[in-house]
Amino acid sequence: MRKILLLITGVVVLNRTLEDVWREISPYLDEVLDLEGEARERWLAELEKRLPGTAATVRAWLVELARLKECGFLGTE
Amino acid sequence: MSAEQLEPVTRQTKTGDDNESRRQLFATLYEELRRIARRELRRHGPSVTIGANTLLHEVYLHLQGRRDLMFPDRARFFAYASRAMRGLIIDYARSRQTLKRGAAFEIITMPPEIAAQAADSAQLERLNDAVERLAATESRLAQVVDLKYFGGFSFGDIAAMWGVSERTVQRDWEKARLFLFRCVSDSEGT
Repeated sequence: MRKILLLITGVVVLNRTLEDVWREISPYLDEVLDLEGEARERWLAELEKRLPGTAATVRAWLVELARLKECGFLGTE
Repeated sequence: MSAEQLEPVTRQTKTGDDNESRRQLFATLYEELRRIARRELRRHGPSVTIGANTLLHEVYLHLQGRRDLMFPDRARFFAYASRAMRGLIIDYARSRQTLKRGAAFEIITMPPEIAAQAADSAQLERLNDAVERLAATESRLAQVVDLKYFGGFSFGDIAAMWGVSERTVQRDWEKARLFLFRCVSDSEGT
């Protein structure tokens, strides 16, 4: 459930659910996961120019995926 | 069992109300279902003490009780069967936990094996909840999890069942892992 935190300053901060974030980045993950090495880096650099926030989120998720593979979350391939 | 051999059976089950065709489908795929059941039970180790045949029997009853279900292809049948087994194992683990909690005596120090079983059961429930959440968000990714993780099918098997490239299945699996990890981490943090 989306939680809205109203701070004393009057600034509304949206605490986005996983599903919210997912809807935003899922199509980008489809694209970037098909790329490797330099092609992936070029693609991310392009996304950074257009949507820096989204690019940062996608990068963070890619780092997490690498970590999950290393630690064998849900088994190894 | 080839897709051609199965095609008439899966075609019959598309109507969703043909018990005979479901029985036939179950019988035809029995060996593969038993392999999935054994694998699932092995994964949960000593915390789940039911046998593969009992689990299969329960899945069969589950299948017969759901006339609204349709299986237009082998992949959807296996995904459903794997999901049903997962649900039954969780119900079983949950009932065992309830029995332990409701015992007439107080356990002062929990023996290590019971603590391990409780942890396993809790982890399984968290993963199950995460898969359900994934199914509501991107059902295809949840099907990959059911087939790959719970059913033990390879990327190649799933790709062949779905008629897509192996790379597509692998990508779906990677996405599913990410989503599930976030879900499980969230629930562990609450």
